[in-house]
Amino acid sequence: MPGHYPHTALKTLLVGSALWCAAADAVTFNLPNRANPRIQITVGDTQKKIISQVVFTVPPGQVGNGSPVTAATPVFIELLIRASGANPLTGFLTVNSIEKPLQNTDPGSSSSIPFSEVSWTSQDGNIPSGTFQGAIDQDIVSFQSSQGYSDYLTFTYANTLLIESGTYKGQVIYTWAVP
Amino acid sequence: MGGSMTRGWLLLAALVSWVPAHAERLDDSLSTQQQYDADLVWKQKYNTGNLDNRELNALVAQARHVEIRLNTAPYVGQRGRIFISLPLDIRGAADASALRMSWTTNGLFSNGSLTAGNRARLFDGEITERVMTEVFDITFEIDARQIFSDLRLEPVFDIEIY
Repeated sequence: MPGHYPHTALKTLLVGSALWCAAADAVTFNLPNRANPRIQITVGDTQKKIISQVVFTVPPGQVGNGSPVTAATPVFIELLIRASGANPLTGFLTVNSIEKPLQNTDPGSSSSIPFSEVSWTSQDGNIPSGTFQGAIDQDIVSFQSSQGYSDYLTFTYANTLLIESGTYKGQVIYTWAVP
Repeated sequence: MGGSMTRGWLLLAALVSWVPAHAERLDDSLSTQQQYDADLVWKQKYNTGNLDNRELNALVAQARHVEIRLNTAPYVGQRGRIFISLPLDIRGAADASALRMSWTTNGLFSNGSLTAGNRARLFDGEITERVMTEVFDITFEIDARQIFSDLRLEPVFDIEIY
């Protein structure tokens, strides 16, 4: 039927215009998205807000014999990243295990233990198990918005090095960032 | 071309049939204000550690003292039910069903809530006024993951006479 489609198109245009005019007077709500993207990291006790301590005690006579020593208390880590679907984000968890190595605290001692002697196992697998590499920004895991992830990590000292006796203290620093 | 024409008519049919066949759309153009802006912000700003993903991603916007005036003149003296509904197709939302609107009123209409694509009853009784006026305090809530731009929505008011 020649001419049928143009006629139909005209009717479509007219009806569409009528609907648009009717809608123009209705009460309308504009909801601009003002929610800033957020990331958050929690390591250890969420209430005390202190640096978590992990303690390995190597019994006398077993130093460097290769028998791993596992810390008694796991450390809780939680990562949050949230953003709207319009601008999804990816967060990266890294750890710095070279800036503050394990140093013998005894006066006059300069002994140290590389953090590569320390590994961790994940309870739930959200944060994968691994070993510190003694690097400034070792990649651990990345997550996309918008979720929260948590896990408990249990740390183990490999105990493969013959070291000077004493108390060694060091620090690893976790960073949760969106590039 | 025939296919696009068919889709066009189907779209128009969907728009026209938004108000149920036995209901008539009420004119709210008498309302004192036609445009309301309400910022979407995080519902939970702090202590987000123990939230599930739904609460973690919840956005809320609040519109206070929204005065709605409905032209009910043609129905004075009759008994009717007045409804509010939200279209399922909301601009800016990937999945509009993730949007919930809740409200409180001054008492002429009922408090309530509904999700996009549904309707809720506001009033049931005799229409006695030519213009029914109610003031709403409205809260919108939506999952941030379902937003791809700013939202714009238009509630629809309709009446069923019985």
